[in-house]
Amino acid sequence: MRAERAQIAVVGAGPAGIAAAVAARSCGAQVLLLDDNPDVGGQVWRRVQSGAAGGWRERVKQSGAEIRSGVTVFDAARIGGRVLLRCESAAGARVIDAERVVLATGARELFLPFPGWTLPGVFGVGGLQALVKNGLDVRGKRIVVGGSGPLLLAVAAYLSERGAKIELIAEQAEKSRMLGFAGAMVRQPGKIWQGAKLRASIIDVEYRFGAWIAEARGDDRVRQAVMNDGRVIEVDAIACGYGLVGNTQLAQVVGADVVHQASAKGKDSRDGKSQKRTDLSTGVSYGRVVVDDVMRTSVEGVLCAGEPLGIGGVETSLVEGTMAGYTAASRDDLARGLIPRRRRERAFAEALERAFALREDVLCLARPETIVCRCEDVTMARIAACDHWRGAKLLTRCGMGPCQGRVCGAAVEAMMGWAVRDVRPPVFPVSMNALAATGGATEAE
Amino acid sequence: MDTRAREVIEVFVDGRSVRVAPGVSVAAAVLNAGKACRSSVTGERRAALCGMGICFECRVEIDGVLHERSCMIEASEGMRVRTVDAG
Repeated sequence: MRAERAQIAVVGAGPAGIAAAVAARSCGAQVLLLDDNPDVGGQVWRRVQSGAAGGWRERVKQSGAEIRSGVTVFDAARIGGRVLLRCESAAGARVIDAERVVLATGARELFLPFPGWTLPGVFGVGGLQALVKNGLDVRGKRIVVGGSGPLLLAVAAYLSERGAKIELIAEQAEKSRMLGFAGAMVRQPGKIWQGAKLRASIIDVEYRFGAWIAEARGDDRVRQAVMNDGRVIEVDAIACGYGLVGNTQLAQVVGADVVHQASAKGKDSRDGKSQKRTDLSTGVSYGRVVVDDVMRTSVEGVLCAGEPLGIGGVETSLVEGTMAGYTAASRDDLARGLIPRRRRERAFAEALERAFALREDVLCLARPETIVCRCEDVTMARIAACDHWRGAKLLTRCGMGPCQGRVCGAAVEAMMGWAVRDVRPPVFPVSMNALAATGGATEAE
Repeated sequence: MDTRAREVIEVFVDGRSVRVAPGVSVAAAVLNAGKACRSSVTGERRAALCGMGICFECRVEIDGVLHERSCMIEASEGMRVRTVDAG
């Protein structure tokens, strides 16, 4: 297949990717913006037209960047001084041969398995919001929102506006942890937290700290949420998510350095089996793509911005995306001017992360019979019998299904403290046709 | 056909007519119709979890194509969707 040439290809059209495309275009570079959703905006700006989201949408559409939605980039490699991307869309397969690539691949939700979490009607928090934005009707539905992070409030408020009856918001973090976060808020006013809190006060919902969903019960779908204190709440749906994990797969495949900090759980799970830990750190921390001060990864010609560098939120993503766009267009000088702003945003994000650090209780909710890998239906007991991620894959097929460990890998990393880092192309399932049509394009010469 | 121009789109979920607004995802249409999506490898009924195309729980058959992620695809006029709950 003949490759399509591009000066700068940006992968992902959320805030970071949009900002990168706009910045690079402002320097006169030719830009191709690729995204796998039907429309630009990423997860956080899905179907949001007002405010900052609307402004950036308009900016990128006017920028002269070529926007291609519905395109999945499933492989990336540096070959012969260029960066090659293998892509698939409804229109077919394609190889893009770019001078420089900005990876703005965003984040996914962290799901921690609990009994009953595979029942229809149990969603992620961002997951349920995305579905409702795309037309799911929640009018009159009784919903418990649980997990961790500022997203809980924002989503509960959103669902309430759409007619849902929010029974409870259960935040696993203790209220005392928010004190340090409040300090960060004073230094960084105007953040989503305040807006969400204001809206939450309007909707008059019970918001509890130190609370979590211990079990979902139901038959053909979820009917009850069982809380950690034993309280049983009748529900039509559960939204549960424990924060976000950056999507580093493409960066890993192209060979960029990623730092992994092994997570650990503080005690054995309920099956009583001793679990292997690699260290005794308190928080859960995932792989982060390593960049220099102007967003260059360890692979020449490959830049990265936003959530794959560590969860930072919209503002961080916009700053880093802008920096990456400038650097990709050989205007490192402009990128350098944003270093102080980036530092401020990252400091805020770190305060947020500390405030919402996961307690060990939520890492041991799965029972021996609870399914952890939803693609291959692998239970906690079978995973706990293994020594490491690779062993679990080989022995149980955990992480070998179509999600490629995006759901269970992050969960296992959190629960077992194993390093989950083996990524191979294609990073998304693609058709044999796409593999064949683009075959060999990214193999080393 | 440009579905954006229409006010209502009719899709068929397991043969049943379901009317949705333009831009609504297949996953939303399926869930609004009270259906789940797929059968897991051990036969459990599953429905959408992540809503953003990464978990693959919302896979359904669309116009004869198996394993389509229904959360990533917008409903279009006359689309035929087959779920785990097809009779």
